[in-house]
Amino acid sequence: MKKVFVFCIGGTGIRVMKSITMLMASGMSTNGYTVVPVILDPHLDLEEKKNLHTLFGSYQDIYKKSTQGGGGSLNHLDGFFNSEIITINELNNQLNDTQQATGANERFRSYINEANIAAHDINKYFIQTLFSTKNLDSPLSVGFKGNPNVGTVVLGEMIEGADWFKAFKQHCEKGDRIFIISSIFGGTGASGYPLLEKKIRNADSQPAVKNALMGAVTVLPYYGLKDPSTTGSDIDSANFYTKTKAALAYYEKTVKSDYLYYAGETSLIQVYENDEKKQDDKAHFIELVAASALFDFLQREKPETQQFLTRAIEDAKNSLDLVSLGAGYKDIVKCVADYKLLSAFINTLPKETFFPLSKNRGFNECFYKDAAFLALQRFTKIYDSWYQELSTNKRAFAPLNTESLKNMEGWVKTISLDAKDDSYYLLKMIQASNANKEKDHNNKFRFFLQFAHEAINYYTKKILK
Amino acid sequence: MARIDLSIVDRGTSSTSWTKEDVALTADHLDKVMEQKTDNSGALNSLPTPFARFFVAKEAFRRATEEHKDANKEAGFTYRQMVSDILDVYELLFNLNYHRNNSWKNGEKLEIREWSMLENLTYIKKKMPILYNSVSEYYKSDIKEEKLYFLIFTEDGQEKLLACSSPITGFVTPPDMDKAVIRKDGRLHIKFTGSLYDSLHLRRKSGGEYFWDVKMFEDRDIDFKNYMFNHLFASDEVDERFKAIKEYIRSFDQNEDIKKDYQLKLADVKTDQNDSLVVNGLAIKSSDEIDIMSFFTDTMIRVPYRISRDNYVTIKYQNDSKERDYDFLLPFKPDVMSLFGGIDIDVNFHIKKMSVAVILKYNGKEYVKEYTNDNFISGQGKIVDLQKASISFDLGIFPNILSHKEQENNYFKILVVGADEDPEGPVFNIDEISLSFFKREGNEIIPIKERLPHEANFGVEPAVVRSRQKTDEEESGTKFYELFNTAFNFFEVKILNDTGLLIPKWQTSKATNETFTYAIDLGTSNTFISRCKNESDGKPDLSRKPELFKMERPMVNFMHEIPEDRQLSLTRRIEGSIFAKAKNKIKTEFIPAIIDGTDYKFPIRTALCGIHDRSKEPKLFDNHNIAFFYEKMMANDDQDVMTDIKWDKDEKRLRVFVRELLLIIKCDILQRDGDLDRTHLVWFSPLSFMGQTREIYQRIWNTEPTNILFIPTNQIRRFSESEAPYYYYKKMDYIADSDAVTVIDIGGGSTDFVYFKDNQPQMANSVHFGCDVLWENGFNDFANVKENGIYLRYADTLCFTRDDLETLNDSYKHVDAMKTKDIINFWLTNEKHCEITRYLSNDFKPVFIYHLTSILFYMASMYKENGLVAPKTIVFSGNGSKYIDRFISSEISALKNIIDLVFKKVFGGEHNVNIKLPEERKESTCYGGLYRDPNATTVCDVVYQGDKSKDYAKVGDINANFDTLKSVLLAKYKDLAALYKDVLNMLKQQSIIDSMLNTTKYVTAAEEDMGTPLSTYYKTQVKEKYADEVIFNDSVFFLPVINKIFNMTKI
Repeated sequence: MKKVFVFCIGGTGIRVMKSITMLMASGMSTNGYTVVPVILDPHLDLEEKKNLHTLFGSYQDIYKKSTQGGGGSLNHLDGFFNSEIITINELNNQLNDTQQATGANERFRSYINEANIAAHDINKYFIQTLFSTKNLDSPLSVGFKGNPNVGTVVLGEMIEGADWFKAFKQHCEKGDRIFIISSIFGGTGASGYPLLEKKIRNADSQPAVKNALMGAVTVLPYYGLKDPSTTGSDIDSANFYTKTKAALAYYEKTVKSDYLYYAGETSLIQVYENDEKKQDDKAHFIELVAASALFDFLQREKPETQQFLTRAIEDAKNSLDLVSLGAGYKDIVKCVADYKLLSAFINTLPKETFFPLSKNRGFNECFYKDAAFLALQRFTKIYDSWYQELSTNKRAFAPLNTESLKNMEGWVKTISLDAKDDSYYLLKMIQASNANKEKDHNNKFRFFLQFAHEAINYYTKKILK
Repeated sequence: MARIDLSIVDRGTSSTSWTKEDVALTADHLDKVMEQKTDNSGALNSLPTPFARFFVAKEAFRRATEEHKDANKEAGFTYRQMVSDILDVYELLFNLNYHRNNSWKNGEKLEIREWSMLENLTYIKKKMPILYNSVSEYYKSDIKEEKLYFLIFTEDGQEKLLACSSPITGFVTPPDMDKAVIRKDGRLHIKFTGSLYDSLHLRRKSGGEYFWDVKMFEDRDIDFKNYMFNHLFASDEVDERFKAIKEYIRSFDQNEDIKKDYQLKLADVKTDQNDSLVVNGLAIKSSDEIDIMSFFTDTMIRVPYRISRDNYVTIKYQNDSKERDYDFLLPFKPDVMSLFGGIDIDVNFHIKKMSVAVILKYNGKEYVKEYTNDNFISGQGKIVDLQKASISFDLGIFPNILSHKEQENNYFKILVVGADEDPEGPVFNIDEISLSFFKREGNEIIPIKERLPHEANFGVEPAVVRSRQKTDEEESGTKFYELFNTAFNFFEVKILNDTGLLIPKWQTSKATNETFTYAIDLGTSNTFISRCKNESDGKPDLSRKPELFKMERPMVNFMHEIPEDRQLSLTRRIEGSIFAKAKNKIKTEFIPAIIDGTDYKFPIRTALCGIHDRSKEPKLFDNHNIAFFYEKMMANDDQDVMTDIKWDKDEKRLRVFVRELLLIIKCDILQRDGDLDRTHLVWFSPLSFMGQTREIYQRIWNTEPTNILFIPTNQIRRFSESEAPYYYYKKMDYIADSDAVTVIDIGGGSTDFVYFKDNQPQMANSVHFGCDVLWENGFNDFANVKENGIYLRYADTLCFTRDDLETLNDSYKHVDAMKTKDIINFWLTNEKHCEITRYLSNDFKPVFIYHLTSILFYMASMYKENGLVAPKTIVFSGNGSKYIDRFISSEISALKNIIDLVFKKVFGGEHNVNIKLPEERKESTCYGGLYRDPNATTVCDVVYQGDKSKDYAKVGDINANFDTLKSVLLAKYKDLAALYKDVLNMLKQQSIIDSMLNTTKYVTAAEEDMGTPLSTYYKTQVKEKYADEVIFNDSVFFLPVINKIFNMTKI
């Protein structure tokens, strides 16, 4: 099993990982790599982080249920949920999560034991040069509030002493890959990426780690926050570009990833509520783009020199469709369109009385009430919300028309699919079922996902043309 | 279609798939990124290293460079602020000496403390292992320096970190010093991130506040710019890590202030370990130039009047107005004068609404300090408004002229006058004003220290307070400084704890061959000075009438400006424009600003003003001065006016009087570009001076002119008061027949007689019997007795038409020390305003006739007994003789008849004398002294006691022959009484005396016993006063006559 360790640093890392998960569910290929997500964020009470763990659980549940049968494990499917996700905890067979590694609600001043320095010791001035009073008085539980200089110290300690990092080093084997997701304009991500990279590259005793092919996506500013003076927040998005420029200048000579992907916006179109404790910002197109970097990375071989990658959109419209996105996004659009079609059938099929496969393949009422299908339903519900957020955010990723199942030619905007309504897809599912002669398992859930994908792909492969 | 990169900057990525770029996103790409305007500095720690700030500072300079090259590429507020703050650190160190000398007065200090990496990382490892884990790793890659330096500023006992050294930008400021723009009460304010710095107010030398306002390189001081450009960052050896800041500084190569050959004196900046401050090979320097700003004072004294532009170097106001009614002392420390040659300090003022900018120009540069009314911000000055402080202050320098011969500038007196104008609170004391004097020797400024004359070659004597303002109602306090054997170029005024400079504009005498002779007639009542220009041989120019002593220019430099007003004399404008509480003080305790011939003129009353406290040795101005004000106003309660100094035998007081006269003469000579040490001096003495008095005068006139005018004694001549007028009258052709001429010089204290025959003096005589006996109280020894009949007659009834005189008269009467003769002389001086002449002529004519008759009878008897014929011409001189034409008769015929009658009685036969009563009777002595040929025959002094039968030269001789003398004199008094009766009768017949006037009582009085008073007063006034061997130059003849006159006043 070849693995890709995906380090998700900070809030942006979490949100990008969510998009990765959605794309994996949609059928995006990891090129056979098992994804091992590692979340680094000191926000103990961050809802998004908890939700992501839940999402991983659902995904894994679905994946497992689709790959079990015949008394053992089956190969992964070609379509939906075709790649495995395994957490670092599971890999290490341990419960200790990255969440518990940081100093809880402790203030930074206390965390570094500043009180151990005598009042008139010159090292007080050394500390004052490095950190503001506000830095020193900030509790770690709410992150580094856009202060990478603080984050460097905290994350450095958090990584160095953490069981998960040891586990990572232990389980990272030759051929495995490393991918780091971070934002550059905040605190946690901006500090965590070069720090983590430094730690990995300095792992002299673990050559597999030290020499692993490494990719990273640096998420550049893509959203703004409301005026901090109205919320009392310490984060002022007016600084994002200023910070990014300073950080990029520093990165120029310090980061050494084999592939460095940049994703961001040249201007901040979306403005969120400024509440760092919640950070429940809606899914954003740039996160999706950043997520796509992982899949691109997993397709590439080790370069001779460090590579820097960016991508464009064809037309800088606020609501993007396939045309304005550009040809490069066809695979993403297809995946999302596929899953959204799956979502439609997950919702409609349980109510379809005369669907032949209910008898032939047992896609009956019991099937629809089975835990596997219910897990899929739950996941799909999250997926739908995710797409809903993407398609209504600024800028919007909205290449689909999903309102009606009776007029489905225009399911993907700007092109016309041959399936005029849902019956075309259901027919193709039946045909897929009929063509399938597998006898080695009787995993209805796997058949359901397999036939649905074959049916959908039949019509949507047109997108890739 | 508008393709756009999904990145921070659109680099024109060719594909919508992930596409390789040639290079990473670098700083160069970021130029295209337009930052949002941010008003806080939260972005300045955004790098994933604990040393983020060091790199952000570098980025700040890079962006500032871009902005400087292209204004469209804005660096943004936070970067500009960071660059400004770091430049502030450099500038602060560059001007460290200035700040230490000038800005930090209350214990503030800046220390540069060394931080050793090895030592301190070990310590941090032990105390803060978590921090160590991070810092130690990054320090090696990011900082690398073995030492860091912390700049610690201490104020109010609190230490504030201002900066840490950086191998990348030289310095970084701590993040707590970052600023945010906040909106409060509808306004934008700058606020430090760390509250510790809220109280940080460090004024830049060049204006504004360090670390508060943004000041980019182009806006900084020229010295600093050239230091950074031409010195610190000029070399190719500067470490590569300084690239960003170096490029920023070097991008100003076209700045107009940057000059290749700009010279700076620089010194190392020292750390607390006394090491030179060197950051990554960059040797940080401090300006070692003359710290011009340190010459500014912290406070600037404002006076509520304009300072005289004629007398002092005054401020040039860039925006002056006619309405300005205030001025400032120059707000500099004395050393500022070392920057300038002479007194040409180049300073301008610019008046603003709430402040005054003082602009000092030196070496083509301008140094500006702002003085404000209220808030005293570090680096700014404060205006100390004396008017608001209710303090009045002025001063005057005497003399205001310098001789071109330096050694002749040996005496200067400075009056300081100050008053508390606040009716509440403690009384401001004159002690709280002080002066310090300085002189220039080449380029060096020499402080003139306090010394006593016997201690040093030159100096200023300790200041002497003459008057104190004891209550708010009283007039000002006064204080005098005296400089000896040196002139001075400027002085520092200290009022309470504030100082300022005043630079006098001296008049200067030119070197010429002009010389002058001055004659000084120090009379009992009046003193007169006359001046005569000399020929090239040094002798008076006899072809010209002597000049009235009158100055064209003031001799005192008062501080206040003299207003223009054609209706008022210069004197009145000078005296009238000083503050109210000083008006009387400058008149009563100092010298007149000018002897203008109108308000102040000679003759003056021979009167000396002095303090009550007689324990202090009389010293000019410190406690005594000529009472020029006498009969015009009262001295204050602490002072007396002495009018008997001529005969008082008090050498010290007399010396003070003479000194002041000589100093006035010195000033006059210098104003006329005269050659001081070639001046000739003539003084006069009466024959009747007794031995000791004569010696006192001789000593004074031998020493004081030498001290003050630098003349040898052979340029000082003494003439007899008696003979001098003759030479003037002769020159004036008043003497028609020079066959036998006598001059009768009646003064206040003495009457002198000289007899000339064929223009040659035959004999001279002097008696201590002047006109003052008419106003005195006989021989009453009590000075405060007021029994003179004339005084008593008018004391309560005489009215003046001028209120000030009426008030003064009233005051005089109630001053115990005022003598009757002084009061009556006051009446006579102001006769125009009180009709005293008419009253005296009506009421006391017989007394005056008796006085005159006794003089004439005495004189005729003396001449006869000395073998001389009766004079054919009689000329009167002396102010005292004016009672003849004032109170007896202005008709010459009447006087001639009296004299003819007296001569008939004494010489027998008929006489027909020529009488001359010239107008210039006081002046004639001085004028005559000038005209007298120094080589002329010296007159023979004759002493006449009324009897020639014996030799009465010494007191012992008189004692031995007193009975004989008495019998002779009693016979003469009988003749005198008879003559007096005849004169009265004659004048009655001529209606000179009212025919209705009962003169019998005067005749009776004249006939009364003279023997007893003769014996009595001889004993008290001669025998008991003088030893036998004393030459008695006076005449006992007048002893009972004086008593008689006193009695007659009471008839």
